[in-house]
Amino acid sequence: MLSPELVAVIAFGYLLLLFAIAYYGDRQRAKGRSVIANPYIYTLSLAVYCTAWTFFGSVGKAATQGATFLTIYLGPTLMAFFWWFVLRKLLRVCKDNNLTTMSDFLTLRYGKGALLGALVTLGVLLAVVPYIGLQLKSVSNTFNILAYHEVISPLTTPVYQDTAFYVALILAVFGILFGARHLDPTERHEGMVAAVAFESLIKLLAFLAVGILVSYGIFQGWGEIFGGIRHNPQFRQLLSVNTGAHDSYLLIMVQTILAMGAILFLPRQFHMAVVENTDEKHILTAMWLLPLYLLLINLFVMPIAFAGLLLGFPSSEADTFVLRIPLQSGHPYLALLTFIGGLSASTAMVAVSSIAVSTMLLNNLVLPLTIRLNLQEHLPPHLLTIKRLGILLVILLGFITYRLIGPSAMLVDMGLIAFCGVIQLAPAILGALYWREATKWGAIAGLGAGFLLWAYTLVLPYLIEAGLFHPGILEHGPLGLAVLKPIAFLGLSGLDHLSHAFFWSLFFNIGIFVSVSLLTAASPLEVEQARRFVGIFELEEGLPLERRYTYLPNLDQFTCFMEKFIGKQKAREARQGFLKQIELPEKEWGDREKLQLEAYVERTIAGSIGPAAARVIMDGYLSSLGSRMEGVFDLFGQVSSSLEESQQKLKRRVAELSVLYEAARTLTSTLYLPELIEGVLDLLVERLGVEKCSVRLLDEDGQLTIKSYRGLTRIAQILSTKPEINTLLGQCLLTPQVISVSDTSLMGRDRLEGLLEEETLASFVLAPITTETLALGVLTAASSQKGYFAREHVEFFQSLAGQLGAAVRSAQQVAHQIRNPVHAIGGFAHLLLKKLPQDSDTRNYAEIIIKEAKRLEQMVSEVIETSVIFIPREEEQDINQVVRGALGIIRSKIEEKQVDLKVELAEDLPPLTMDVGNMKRVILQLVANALDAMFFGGRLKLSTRRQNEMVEIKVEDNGKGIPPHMLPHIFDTFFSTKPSGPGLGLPIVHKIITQHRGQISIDSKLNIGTTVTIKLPATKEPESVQD
Amino acid sequence: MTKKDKLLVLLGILGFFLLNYPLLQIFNRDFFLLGVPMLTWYLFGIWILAVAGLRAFGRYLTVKEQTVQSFYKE
Repeated sequence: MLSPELVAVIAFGYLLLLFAIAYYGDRQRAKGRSVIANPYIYTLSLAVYCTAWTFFGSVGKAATQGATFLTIYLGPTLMAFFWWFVLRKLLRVCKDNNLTTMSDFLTLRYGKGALLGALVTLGVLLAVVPYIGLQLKSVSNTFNILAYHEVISPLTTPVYQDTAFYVALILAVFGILFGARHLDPTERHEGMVAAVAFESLIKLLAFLAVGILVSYGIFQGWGEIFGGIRHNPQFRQLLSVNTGAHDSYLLIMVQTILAMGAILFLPRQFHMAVVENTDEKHILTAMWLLPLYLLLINLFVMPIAFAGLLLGFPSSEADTFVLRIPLQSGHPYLALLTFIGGLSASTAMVAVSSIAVSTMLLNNLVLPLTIRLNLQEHLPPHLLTIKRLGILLVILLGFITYRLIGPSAMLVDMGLIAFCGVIQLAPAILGALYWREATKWGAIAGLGAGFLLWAYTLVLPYLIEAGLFHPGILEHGPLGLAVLKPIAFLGLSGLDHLSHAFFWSLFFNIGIFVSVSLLTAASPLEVEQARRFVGIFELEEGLPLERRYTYLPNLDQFTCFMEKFIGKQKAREARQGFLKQIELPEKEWGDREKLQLEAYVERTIAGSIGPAAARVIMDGYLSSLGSRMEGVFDLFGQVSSSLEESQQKLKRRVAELSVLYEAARTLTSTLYLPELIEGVLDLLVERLGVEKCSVRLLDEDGQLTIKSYRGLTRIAQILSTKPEINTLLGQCLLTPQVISVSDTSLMGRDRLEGLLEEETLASFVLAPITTETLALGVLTAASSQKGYFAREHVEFFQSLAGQLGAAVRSAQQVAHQIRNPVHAIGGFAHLLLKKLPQDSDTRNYAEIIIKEAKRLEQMVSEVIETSVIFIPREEEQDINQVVRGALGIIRSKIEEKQVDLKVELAEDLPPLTMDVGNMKRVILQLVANALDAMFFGGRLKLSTRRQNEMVEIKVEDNGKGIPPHMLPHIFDTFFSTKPSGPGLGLPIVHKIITQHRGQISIDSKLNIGTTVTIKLPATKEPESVQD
Repeated sequence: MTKKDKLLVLLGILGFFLLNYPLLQIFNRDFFLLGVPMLTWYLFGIWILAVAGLRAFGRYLTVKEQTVQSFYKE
């Protein structure tokens, strides 16, 4: 005979074996070798469907109701026909979004609000808790039968003597060790899956062993057993169905549908089928192998049940026939194996269910609550503890229900209550997958009504039977209202409890879900999610960018952020995963990649805390960094008449007007062309938020060359293209017309030719710089928002480019028109000079004319020249070389003036990036200025030296200096301290130095001297531009 | 989902009808074959057919998936 100690030790040993398997599975996963990544393990893990209810309860049901129990297993078989479509879709959505529970799935689809998730969690909790209680009951009953030959009723035992209590505690430890050893953003527990698969094998073998013993050991095959029942008038009706309300055709249909729903929507099935799935192709094997498993485990149910009846066991003990028959027929070790089989069925179910439900509790009740109470800052360190407590709580709740209603219900009833509870999720989940018009309020109202009616018509009667409520409610309805009787709701009587509850709950659930969905509008977020869920197989890449953040943290910051929720190791893995997925170095990310990163981080933490909480925490995190979301202008895609948007448009219009005004001012205030263009580009960037813009002008060879730009890399300026009419650039210049492209990605590559890849971004505009008769160049502006340059902004660019054109033209024309007459004057004066006799007064006048003409010519050519030099061609050069070169040119003049020149060039200078020609011009200009200011025999000093990352160039003279009141205007165009000369010298110097990102300063004391100091930044490390 | 794949869904619906009233009534009668009731033969028979059909379709879809995948790999 089996002693209680032996049974306990064996049971404990078996649990240790399961731990070992789970431990091995987890270790292998950590090494990257998954033991569960094959379709057979996947199938066996899905067999967690078969609980103690299957193992013991099926026989109980067969012994009392005949073949109807088979519907519970035929339903999943029928559902398998739809798996490849429904389950695969569910799987794809959940994997893509890192969803780990059904409630998260629904929360994400229906707009990320916390209410729906909380509702689902409470409903599922209510459904699953008695089901867990049932497993505890089964383990403790079978243990007691095996060890003491009797079932001990919980009504007569105190809690501390109740075997079920210790079973509950052991199972809680089991669940925590399996499911909450550490945080995992994917909620995958390979070790647990391996253990569950092993248990599935054990329970099948144990049941088959008992079946074979009964069929062929105790009886002479099925014929004898069925024959015995056939000839017993008391049991004969068990061989057919539809003999009464307990096995009616209606009940068969209802149970079949319930089972079809249960195989998908029970939390443990969802967890195994979706969350723990490693490859969606495994469905193709599981879809026939699981029905086969179910067939095998049910093959001997009827023979065992009938054999028990024939052997004279009372049908009230039918739930334990599987154990009692081998025990009574002298096979105690087979009974022990059966016990282990039942233990497998129970432990697997409890472990997986409690893990799945505790995740739901954490994600949908605890986290939204902490956020509501503003405690989320303190949360991350306690996540794991909360999850563990959740598991313990779920199992203890199961124990409490077992104590309360356990004795009054048969095993199988509690299972069907749970089935009917979770099928309430079916409309919302199927709607999420297949119906775009389903809305959040439809889902909440439908689910709420469904759960409410299910609880009222199915759960309440059991609670009344258990004595928790007044029995009068059952007989006369609440407050005497017979219409509201829980078992004959609205007067519908004559149905069995289950069919009655099934009908009313789903009737209201579906009806309200559909009607409210049709009556309410979905939020934009829901519309977006509906599109992504329903069309998961159609759309993949290339969604248009519809929003962006004003600021997003970089990858390092995000990694730190994730660490708080999923731990260092997992955060690092997630980071690697993202980099792999994006295939671009962080430096080159644009808005799209950053948005992907943000979504990826949200999905990753959603794995451990659920999508609703993840959304809130993410928003909080981003806004704490000062980032907010802004919509992307898409005037063609989404015309909205909301006040906010029209206000935005108005603001933009005002900004545009001010740009035009400022541009007009700039354009009339100076004739110095680089300054004009720079000024306009500055306005575009500062006032309109244009990210990249440039001005291209036609040069003498008819090539378009970028003269000035904002936001482009330096390579831009050396590219020039011949405008062809078939490209956008050419079309813009030659037709001429403003071309606005609201979505660059829709534009063919060949049309974009001539434009740099970096300057088109997501949308851009090209405006021709023209006068009435001439095309001079093209103004471009681009934004990373789509549709930033809509049709109404075209006028703005047209007029801006027009103004620019007029300015460019007039500067060029003035210079050209003056130069020719001046040339003529100078030339003829020379002729005159040659004809005049030496030492005559007239000759003197002619010399003056020549001198002045030369001066004028020089000034004009300088204006023309400035219209040509804009952006320097930069190269790396030693500044000392440039200084020496400049001195070489001007040396004769210095000597002429007998100036004492001192040159001090430091040798340790870093190379500078510069335009050598322009820089030489700067030095020449400064030296020339100094010479002008000095009298004969002055002192001029040129020096260079290193100053940290800068190079300093100094030109010092001891000339007459600049009067203090003139110093502030020294860099203004057309301002000159000298009574003569074009006055363009210092402004050009200033411009060139600024273009080189340098600084220039002048220190001058009247009659003592002037010192000009230039600081230029040293070349940085090689930049990525030179490719 | 190709046209052929929809056949799988149809088979599932067919199965649902076969296992419910009124088709079920045809086999819910007092008739025994080899000592086992007709209804038991019928239910398990449908079950085995379902497994066989699912297996055949599973294989067909596996081959199809592999072809599709190798197509994309090239």
